[in-house]
Amino acid sequence: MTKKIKTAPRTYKGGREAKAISAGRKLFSKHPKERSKTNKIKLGKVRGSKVKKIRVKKILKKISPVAVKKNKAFNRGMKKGALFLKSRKFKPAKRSVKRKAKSILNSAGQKVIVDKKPPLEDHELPLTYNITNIKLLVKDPFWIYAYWEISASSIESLRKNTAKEDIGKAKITLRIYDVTLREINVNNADSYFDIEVSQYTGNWYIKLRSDCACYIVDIGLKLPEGRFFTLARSNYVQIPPRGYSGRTEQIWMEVPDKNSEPIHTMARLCYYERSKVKPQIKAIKTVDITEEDIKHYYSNLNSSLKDIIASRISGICGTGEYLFFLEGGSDWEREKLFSWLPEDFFMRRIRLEASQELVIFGQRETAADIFSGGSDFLQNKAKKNISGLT
Amino acid sequence: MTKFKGYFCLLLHAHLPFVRHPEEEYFLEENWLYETITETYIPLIEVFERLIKNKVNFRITMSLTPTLVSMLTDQFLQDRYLRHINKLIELAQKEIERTAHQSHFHDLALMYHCRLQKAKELFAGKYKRNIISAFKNFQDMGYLEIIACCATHGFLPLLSVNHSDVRAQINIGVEYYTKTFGRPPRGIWLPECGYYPGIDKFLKEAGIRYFFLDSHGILNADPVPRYSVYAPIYCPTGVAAFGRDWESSKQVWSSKEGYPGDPDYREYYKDIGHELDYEYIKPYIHPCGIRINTGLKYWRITGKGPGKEVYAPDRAKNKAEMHAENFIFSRQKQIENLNTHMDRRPIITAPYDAELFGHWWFEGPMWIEFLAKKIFYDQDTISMITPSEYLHEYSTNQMSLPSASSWGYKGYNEFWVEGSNDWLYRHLHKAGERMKELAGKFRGYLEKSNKSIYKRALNQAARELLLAQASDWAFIMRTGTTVSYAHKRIKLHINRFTKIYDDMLKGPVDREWLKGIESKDNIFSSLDCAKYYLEEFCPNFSQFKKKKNRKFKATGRKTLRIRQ
Repeated sequence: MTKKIKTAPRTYKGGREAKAISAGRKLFSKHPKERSKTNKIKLGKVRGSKVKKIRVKKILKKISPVAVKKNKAFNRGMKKGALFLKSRKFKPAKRSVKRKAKSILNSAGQKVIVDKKPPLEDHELPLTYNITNIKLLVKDPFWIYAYWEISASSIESLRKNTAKEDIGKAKITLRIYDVTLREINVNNADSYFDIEVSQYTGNWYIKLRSDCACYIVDIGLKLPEGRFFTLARSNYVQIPPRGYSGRTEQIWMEVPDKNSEPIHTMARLCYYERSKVKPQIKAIKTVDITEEDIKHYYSNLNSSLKDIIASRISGICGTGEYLFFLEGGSDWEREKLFSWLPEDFFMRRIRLEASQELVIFGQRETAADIFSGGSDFLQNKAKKNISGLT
Repeated sequence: MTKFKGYFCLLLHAHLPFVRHPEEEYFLEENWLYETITETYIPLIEVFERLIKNKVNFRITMSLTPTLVSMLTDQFLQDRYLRHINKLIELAQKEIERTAHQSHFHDLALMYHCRLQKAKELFAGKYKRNIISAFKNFQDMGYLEIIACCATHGFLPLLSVNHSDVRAQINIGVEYYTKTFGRPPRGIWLPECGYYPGIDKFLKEAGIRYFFLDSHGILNADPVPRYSVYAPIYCPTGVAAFGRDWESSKQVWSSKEGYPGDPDYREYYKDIGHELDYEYIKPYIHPCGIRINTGLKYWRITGKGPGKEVYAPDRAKNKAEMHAENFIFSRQKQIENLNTHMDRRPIITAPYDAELFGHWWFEGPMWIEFLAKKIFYDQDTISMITPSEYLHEYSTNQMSLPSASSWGYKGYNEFWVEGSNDWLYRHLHKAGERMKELAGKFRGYLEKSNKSIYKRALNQAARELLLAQASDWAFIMRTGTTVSYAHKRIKLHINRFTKIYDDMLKGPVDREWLKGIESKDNIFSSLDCAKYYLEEFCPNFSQFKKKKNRKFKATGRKTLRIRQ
C-alpha cells in the first residue's frame, strides 16, 4: 500500500502542492482502524498549514490518468477525508474517480465518453422487482384489474412455518373481500370469494358481484383443506355506482368566494330524561355534526350519517329510555331525521323530534334562508312532502 | 345580466404530450405541436383578437396543460416551429405556381399562403414567439379564464394507488400555472375528466375552487343532484364540480350527427403530403421519406364515398354560420325548458378538446367566432359565462359526492387499463413509491442550492416519473397509432428514473449523463419537482401574495410621483 502511494507525488515537486500531498499521504497511509481516531487532528494540521481541501482536489486533477489509476487507494482515502470534513446527515454514496478515469483513458486526448452498455432507450423494463405485493385498479363498475408479484423468499418463509407437504399442494389464490360500509379491516368483511390463479400469471381482471361497493384483495396460498395463508394485502378500492343514487335528501352548502372562510355544517340535539312523575330536564347537550362527520359519511368509509348520529346519541345517553325534545321544526324535517336514524333506535323506544336548528346545513344565515322561504322551489317541495306524509 | 335566462360555458381543453427530441434533426412526433400551433392555437388567438376588436363581450374557459405551456415557451421548439412554418410557406409558394392553371386550387393555395404568412407574423412578430403571452393577455382582460391542469396529464384514478403521485401531479400543475400566468388558478381540468372520490381533498389543498366532470359523474352522485348537470354541486370538501352537458357535446362531437362531419367542411384525411408526387413533395415531408400531413388540403368532405369535390371556403363559412345559429337555437330551447324546472339560471357546460377546432375541424375557430358574436348581439336568452363567475353568483349549491368517472370510452377507466396498456401501471406505481422514498431520504438536499448534484438528481427523477405518468402513452397504446413511440417513451422515462434511483442509493451519480438528460427532458426546469413528493408537503401561496404586494407598492410610488 505504501509503495503505491509513493508514486503519486513523484510527478510533482516542491511548493505547497508537495506539502499537501504529503499531508494526504500521512492521513491515509495508516491502518483504517487507526485512521478514524487520528483523522481529525491530522486534518486540523492540514488546515493549519494553509493548504485547503480544494487545493488538494486540484492537485488530484492534475495527476496524470495513469497515476490516478495506480493510486486508487490514495483517491479512496482522499474521498473519505472530504466526506469527513462535510459531515452530512445522510451519507451520500462515494463518488469514485474510477469511472471518470476510464473515460479519459479511452478518449485518448478527446473528450468522448465511451459507454460499453447499450443506450438506456433499449433496455427492457424489469420483469420483477423482487417484492411481494398486490395492487388493485378500478376498471369500471363491473371489473377490477389486479396485478401482483410474489417473491421466492416470501413463499420460503411460509414454508418454514408450515408442513412441507401442505405447501406443495397449495395453490395461489386471490381472496376478494367485500368491505362495503365497513372499516377497512378484512375481519369485518361482509363476504368474500376466491379465484385460483396460475403461478405464472401476474395479473387478473376480476369480475365483481356488485357495484357501488368496496373491496380488498388478499393474495395467498390456499391448501386443499381450505386453510389460507395471506402473502400480501392489496390497496382498498371503491367501485363507482352504475346508476343513480338511492338517496334523495338535499343538503345545501355555501362556499363563499374566499377560500379562507371555513365551511361548517352543524346539527344540534338537546335531550330530556323522562321520569315517572314528571318530565325533567336532565341535561342539554349539543351534538355538533361537523364537516368531518359529513366527510366521513360521504367518504363511505364509515357506515353513514345516521349511524354517526346514533352513536353520538347513545354515547351521551347510554342505554335506557330517553326522550328527545327539540324545539320547533316542521314535520318534514322531523321525518327526514327519522329516516336517517337506524331502526333499532325505535326498538329502544326513543322518541326523537327534529328542530329547525338541527338540520341546518351550510352557513347558518343562507341555509336558514333556504329553509324558511328563500327558495320557492324548496318550499314547494317541503309542502309536497308534508302533504304526502299526512 | 339579469335579463338572461341561463348561461353557457364553453370550455376548450388544449393538451399535447411533452415531445421534445433535440438529439434528432427531424422528429416525426414533434409535428403534433407544429400542426396544432398553425391550425388551432394561432387561429384561436386571431378569433379572440377580432372579437375583442369588435367589442364582443364573450367568455371562454380554456385549460392549457403544463406540458403544452412548457413546449410553447421552450426556445428550442420555438426555433424549430419557425423552421417548420418557413418550409410550409415555401411549399405554399410552390403550390401557387403549380396550380396556376387550376383556378379552384389556385385560390386555395393563395389562401393557405396568406394564412401561413399571417400565422408567422403573429408568432414571430407580434407575440415574439411566445403565444402563451397572448392567452395570458386575454385572461387579464377578462374574456378568457384559463384553468390549470395536472402536471403531465396523468390519469389520476389509476395513479391513486400512491397518494403522493396524485398530489404531486395536481400541485405541480397548479404551481406551474401560477408561475406562468401570475396568479393561482381558480379551476382545474382533471385529465380525461378522471375523477374518484377523494381527489377533491387534494384539490382543496391546492386551493382549487372547481373542476369538471362528465355527465354521469354528476348524475350518479350521492345523493341525487337536484339540478342534474345544469348547476354545479359541491363535494363534501366544498370544491365545486361542473357536469358536462350531453346534448351540446353530442352536437359537436358526434362523428355522425356532429357539425364537423358536414359535407361542406374541409376533409381532414386528404392532404397533399400524401397525394402529390414523391419527388415534388420530398423536401416538405420527413427526410426518411415518411409522408406526413402538411396542412394543405384541397378537398371537402362531400360525402361518404371516395369521390371528393374541391373545397369552397365561402360555402364552408356559410355553413359555420348556420351551425352556430343552430347551436344557439338548441341552447335557447334547452334553457327555456330548464327554466320551467329550476328556480335559478341554469349553466350549460360544454367542454371540447381545443385541437378539435382548427386541427380536425378546420372551420371550428370560425364557428366559435360566429357563436360568440351571435350570442352577444342576436339574442337575450343566454349569456356566456365562466365557472368562477357562476360560482360568484350562486355560491350556495347542493352538496353531493360525485361518482368516479371519466369522459373516455364507456365512461370509466377502461380506455387506460386494458390488455394493451395494463402492464405499465406495475412500473409506474413502483417508480412512484421509489420517488417518495428518495424524497424522504434525501430531503436535506432539497433546501440546498440548485448546484447540489443530489438536488438536481432528485428533481430530474421526479420529472422522469411525471413524464412517464402522462395518460397519453396509455391512450396511444389503446388507439393503436404510433404505439412503438409510446412504448419507447415509457421505457425511456422509467429507465432513466431507475438509473437515478440506483445511482443515488448505491453508486455515484453520473454527472455527465444527468446533465444530458436535464437538457433533454427539461420540463418544469424552474420548479423543484421533488419536494411535492415529501409526506409533509403543504402547498403555500403566501410567497406569491408577498411578491404581488411588493409590485403594488412600487407602482403606487410611481403614480404618486407623476401626480406631483
